[in-house]
Amino acid sequence: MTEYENAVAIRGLTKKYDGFTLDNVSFNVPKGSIMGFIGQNGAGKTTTIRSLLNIIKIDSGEIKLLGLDHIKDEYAVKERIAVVFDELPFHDSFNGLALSRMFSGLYGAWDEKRFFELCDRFGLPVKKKLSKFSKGMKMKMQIATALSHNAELLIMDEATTGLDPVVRNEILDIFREYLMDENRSILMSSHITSDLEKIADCVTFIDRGKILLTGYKDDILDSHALMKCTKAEYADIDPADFVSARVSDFGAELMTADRAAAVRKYSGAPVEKTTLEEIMLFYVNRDKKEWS
Amino acid sequence: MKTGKFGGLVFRELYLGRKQLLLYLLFFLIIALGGWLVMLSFRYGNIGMLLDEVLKDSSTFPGTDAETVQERMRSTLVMFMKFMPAVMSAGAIMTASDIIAKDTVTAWNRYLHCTPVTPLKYASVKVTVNFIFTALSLVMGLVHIALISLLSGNGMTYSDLSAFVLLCMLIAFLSFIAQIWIILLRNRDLGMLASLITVMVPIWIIAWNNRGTDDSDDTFNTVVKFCEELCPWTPLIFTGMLALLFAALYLLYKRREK
Repeated sequence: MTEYENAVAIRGLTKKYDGFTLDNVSFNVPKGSIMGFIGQNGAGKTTTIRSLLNIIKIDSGEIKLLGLDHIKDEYAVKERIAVVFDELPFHDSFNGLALSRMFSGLYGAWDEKRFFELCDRFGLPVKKKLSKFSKGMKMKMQIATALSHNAELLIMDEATTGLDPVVRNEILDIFREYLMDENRSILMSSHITSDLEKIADCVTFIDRGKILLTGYKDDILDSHALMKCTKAEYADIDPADFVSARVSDFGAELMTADRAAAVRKYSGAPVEKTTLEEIMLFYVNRDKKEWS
Repeated sequence: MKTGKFGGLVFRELYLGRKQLLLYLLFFLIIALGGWLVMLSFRYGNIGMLLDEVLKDSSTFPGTDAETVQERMRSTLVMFMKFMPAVMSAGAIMTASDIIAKDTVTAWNRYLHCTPVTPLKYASVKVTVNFIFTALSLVMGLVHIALISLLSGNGMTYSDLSAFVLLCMLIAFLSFIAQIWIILLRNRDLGMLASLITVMVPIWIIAWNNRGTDDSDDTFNTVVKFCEELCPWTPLIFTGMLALLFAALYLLYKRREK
């Protein structure tokens, strides 16, 4: 088996559509980590995930999954990865028992015992049809199938969207447990940044088809900061020193990508820790520079 | 590398098609039972008595004696009993296209691209399942026709056999075309419409070329003769159809989204 450093390595991925381009996307998911892939709806998260799974043809770029080429070694790679979509790809008439039998046809390493153990743990009745399941149960069933063939890489596209916070937390716990084995990695796309803040080791932020930020979550949160100032003070700040500014009648909040430099340069202004959600918000409005 | 079991994938298809198959079986049984009841009533019950009453009056069918009328009605009834349930069993061939429609609804093909199942393997699974459905329909229909022929005292004719086999081939062709169209259009209704048009257009052309010929008895005999001539070739034709379906499905499953 190939040794690899990054579970996912994307270099210069480009895919052009009418009115949208995935533009020279590059990022890595280090082995043993959980990567949060964030961005607003239509930013290019799903297109990137579909490209790396070879669901869609790419125009240019290089993608390696588990150290192997995503097209040349497609079927060898896919035996070792698992994918979870936001919608259940199995017909509602299936139950857990039938799904297990079907999955024995999909994966050579299908572990029926593990699957039934997971169903039991998630409280999923295996004789009950999927049509009788709630959205959360359907998602847990999809995750149970994904975790039952010893996959080294779990790829999830908006898997927690539309679920209530209790179920989302349960699912995040499952992922933490999955990552106890250091050979396993997760790439998880979501626009619910609070989930990723809890669980992700790394974060990649995509907007309008371009990667704006990628790296370790703590580094990103440490380097970014929210500066607060009055409108008069705001007028004196160099626009090159902040990503964008939220201006209201009470003053201005500025997102800086270099906290240390901002503290040095504007020592009078209070600098606060920020969240992934705020970083996303300020980057999305970067072209306007000033918004309210 | 150990790969998934072929049987697991065939199981998926049969599991998805089981309701449709049961429905066709139910129709088959209901129509067969209905036919039997009519036949029994014709011989021993109310229909027979009613007919006797009607036939007593010689003005009802002038120029034809009661026995001839009875014989004609009996043969019509036997024909109905033979072929209607058999047509229902032939309908079961369409189950494969129903499964493809279910695949479209759940975006199964997209999910399949995330698994290690190769297009070659999956096309083989689909072709195997199509073969199973066609074989099942053929056997069920032919056994029924043979049974009715035997019980009505006539025995199964080559015309019966060839007409049914050709009907199954026509439905199989419609089903294969429907599967391809449904995958291409990603819509069950549009796919079915497109496949019906694909099958009907040649029939319309033939009908247009033969316009003015109004002898229905002659047309019926021509069709029967055509079926009898073509019947020995059906194994070859069916193999060719399966090979074409395999090639088409392989290319469709290999294809990636834009």
